[in-house]
Amino acid sequence: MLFAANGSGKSPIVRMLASALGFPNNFRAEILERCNAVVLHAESDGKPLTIRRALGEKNELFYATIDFDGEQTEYHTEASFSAALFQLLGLRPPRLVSTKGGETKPYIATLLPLFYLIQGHGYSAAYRAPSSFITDQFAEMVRFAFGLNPKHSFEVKKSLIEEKSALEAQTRMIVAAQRVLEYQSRGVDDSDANQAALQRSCENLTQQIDGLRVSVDAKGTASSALIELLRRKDVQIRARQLELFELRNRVAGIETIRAEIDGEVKTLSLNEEARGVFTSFQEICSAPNCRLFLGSAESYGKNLLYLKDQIKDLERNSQRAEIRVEQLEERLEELGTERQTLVENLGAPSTSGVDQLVTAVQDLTKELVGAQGELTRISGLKEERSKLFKLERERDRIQDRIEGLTNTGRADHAFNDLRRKLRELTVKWMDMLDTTSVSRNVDIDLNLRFTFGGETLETIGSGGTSSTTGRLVLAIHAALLEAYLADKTRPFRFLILDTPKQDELHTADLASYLTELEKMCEANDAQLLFSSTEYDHPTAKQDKRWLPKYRGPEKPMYLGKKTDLLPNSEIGPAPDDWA
Amino acid sequence: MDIIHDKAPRETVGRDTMMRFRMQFQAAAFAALEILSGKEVDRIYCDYHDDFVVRRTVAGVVEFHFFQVKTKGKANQQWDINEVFALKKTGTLNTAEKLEAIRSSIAGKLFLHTIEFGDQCRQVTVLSNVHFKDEVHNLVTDLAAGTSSKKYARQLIEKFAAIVSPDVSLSLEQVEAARRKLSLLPNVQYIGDTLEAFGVAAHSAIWKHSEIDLHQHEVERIARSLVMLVEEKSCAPISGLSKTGIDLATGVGLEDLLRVLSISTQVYLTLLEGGDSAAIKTASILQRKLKEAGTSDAMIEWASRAKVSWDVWMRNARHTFPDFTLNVLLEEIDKKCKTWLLGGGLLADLEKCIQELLESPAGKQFPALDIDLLFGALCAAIVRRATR
Repeated sequence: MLFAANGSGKSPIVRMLASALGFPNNFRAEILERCNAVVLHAESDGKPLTIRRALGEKNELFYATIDFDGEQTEYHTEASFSAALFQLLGLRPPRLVSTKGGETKPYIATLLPLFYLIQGHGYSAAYRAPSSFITDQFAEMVRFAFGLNPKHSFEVKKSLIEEKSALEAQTRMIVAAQRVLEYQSRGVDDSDANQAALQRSCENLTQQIDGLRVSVDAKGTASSALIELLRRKDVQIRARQLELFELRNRVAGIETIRAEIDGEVKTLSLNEEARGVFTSFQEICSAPNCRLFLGSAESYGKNLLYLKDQIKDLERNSQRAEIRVEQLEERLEELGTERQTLVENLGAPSTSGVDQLVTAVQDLTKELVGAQGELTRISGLKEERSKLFKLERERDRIQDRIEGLTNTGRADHAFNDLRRKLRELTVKWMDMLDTTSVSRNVDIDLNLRFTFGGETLETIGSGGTSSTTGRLVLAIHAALLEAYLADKTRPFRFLILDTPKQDELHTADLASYLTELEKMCEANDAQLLFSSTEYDHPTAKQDKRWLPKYRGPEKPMYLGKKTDLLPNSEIGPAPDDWA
Repeated sequence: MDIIHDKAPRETVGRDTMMRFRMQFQAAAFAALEILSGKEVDRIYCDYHDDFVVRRTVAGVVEFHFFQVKTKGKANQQWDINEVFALKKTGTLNTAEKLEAIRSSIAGKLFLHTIEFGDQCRQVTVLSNVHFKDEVHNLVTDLAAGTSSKKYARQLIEKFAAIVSPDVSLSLEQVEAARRKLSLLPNVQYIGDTLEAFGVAAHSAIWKHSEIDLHQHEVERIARSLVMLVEEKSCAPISGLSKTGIDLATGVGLEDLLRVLSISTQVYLTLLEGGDSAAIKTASILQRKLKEAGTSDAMIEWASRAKVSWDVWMRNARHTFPDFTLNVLLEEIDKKCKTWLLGGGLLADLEKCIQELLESPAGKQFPALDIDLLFGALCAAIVRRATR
């Protein structure tokens, strides 16, 4: 306990303690000028730990050394110091998400406020850090202190971002593949039956060509091959002609239907006009909604839309049919000329056997190449299809992964247990502090916002601080500490209370609170450090009382020159050996 | 002989009144077309508080613009101050009767809105098919400025508060704001005794907000439907209706306009968001729907062929089958289509629908129905639903 009058320098002492732990410096110029460094002697795992934090000309400068286990290390930034101290204490700081969406880590400056209530504004909110740059900082720090998974882990977020962009890329690939597939599948019949038929005809053609090669009577074989080819051409031509005939019929039919629809549009117009005329003579039928023209209940515009929409369908169909007709006509022409050459070759007596042979081989080869080309297209199509299938499967996998990543933190039993426990403990400590006029219906949400019967700390304190908020903050921190101390291996076993506002708190309440805290700390191998101006808390054997030892102009001071040291000493030794 | 023509008729006011009303409806219908642009204007009230009222919502704030439609039979006539304001150019405004006369003039009634509705009244306008005399324009300008070189205008400005609000005293700002709100809209060409002028003026809006290519006479018919819509709204009885009831009964909103126009709500929204209007005008509803669902071109062609053959069958069937039987079938099809759409609209389910239709008593009445025709029927039902 630090016990001294106002203005004797208690706060700088408490701040120096925090400073030695890596808290940002915030000293007045007088101290910066006269003090060189703050040295903290502590103990971790039974080994001595010495932290020396230099006090420079400005508060912003950072230099500290740690002596631990016979080794000295030095640090020039808060970040590296924090990391080293966490490591030394056996904590593994998680990668968290900053308020700007980037990566960040916990600092001493963000963690220590759980165990350190700064004089003044520290008593106005459940958590008050010098700077706030981590998303849901309070919740994250409690999670970190209690060894729980972070709420917003940077790794999870990063991989989520990666997975999401992967999903987008995958979708794009699928769309591209679909387009390729659609393009390739145009006009290709890739059914198994067609494939088999093509394969058979390939074999057949190859056999015929082979037959020509090995045949003795080359001329006879050639002419019979040609006749066979001719017959096949005829069949093809007939089939195409039939198709063409049907298509032409359909196109002609479309014209008729179109004319019919046009007629209907005209009827509709007439009907509408008649309706207009009739309704304008309201004298004819004065009954409202007489429904003489029930058929026109649906408006003219909509009926017109439906009818004209039919025409659009027709036009599209006839366009497609016409394109097909053109294609067929072209193909028929080709077939016709091919047939003609065959006929000429067969019929002309002058053509030699060799010529016939050449033509036969030529035509057979042509057909073979055509059939094989078709086969290649089909197999290409199949490949494309399986590629698309694989892409889609991969997309499903990515979606599953995203699902898995976004689910973390939802079923968070450990954290929920902690919230429940904190709720009970807070109520217990509220009773201890005799907090009146605040609902005991404490609720703690996922971001560790405390509400009391629906009211937040801010509304209870009506924007500033009141004795009630002070009590509630003390209760919350006692509850946090009690929950924290339950695990014997956790390193931060202390609570620093920098001058709890006595003027707003009944001394009796503070006394009972501190006594209970003391008991709890004793039972759990922890320390309580507080400073006080008026209330003199009774100290026992194991406690230390630190009184100002230097002579000041009006009253004894905590800091001073060696020469000003007060001669009489009811002064305890320096209270800086704790872990 | 022909004695009916020889004697002068006792009264012909009714004819004139009808025509005036028609012009008012045209003016309101034209104002309603602005709703389609999807910007500020969102509702037109017909014959409610005034001839028509345009409601604007600007950044969540609702404002009203009141219109008085005043027409004259001859285009070369002009409105003068006495007609619009009931203001005499000579003499002093000293009696209560004179003030009362101004209060119940065309402009006076409009000014009452500016007091009654305060900030919600954005503007009041006198709309006419003919011109206003310069003196009327000058008076409106002077009212906005608050000063004038004419004595009668100065008197009007002086007595303005007493005219528009005889019972309640107003603040200076209120009076000034009210004075500035009057405007004139002369020589409006889209109202006339026939619908032609209106049809021409509304042409571009109707054509733009149409899903199909329209002929001139079709545009005119739709323009007529628009005016009739306004007429309906103007005549609807409003006694005993709730606020929303009155909104629906007297107001023309987007949904009413779309009901009359040849465009489906879906397409209207697509176009509003900057969809390709040319693509929409060429592709039919069924094609677009199936394309969206990722159907292949061949399937789309088949479906549209099926729909065409259904339409053809239907065109004949309605002459050969009794109306009742046919309507039962159509209702059955529409019901099936609805359940199919609500069930997620999977093509595989469609087969079940068709089978059920074939076996239904309604379906059994028509021996010619087969799977292809019924598939076409369902396609047609989908399109019918989409045209709404």
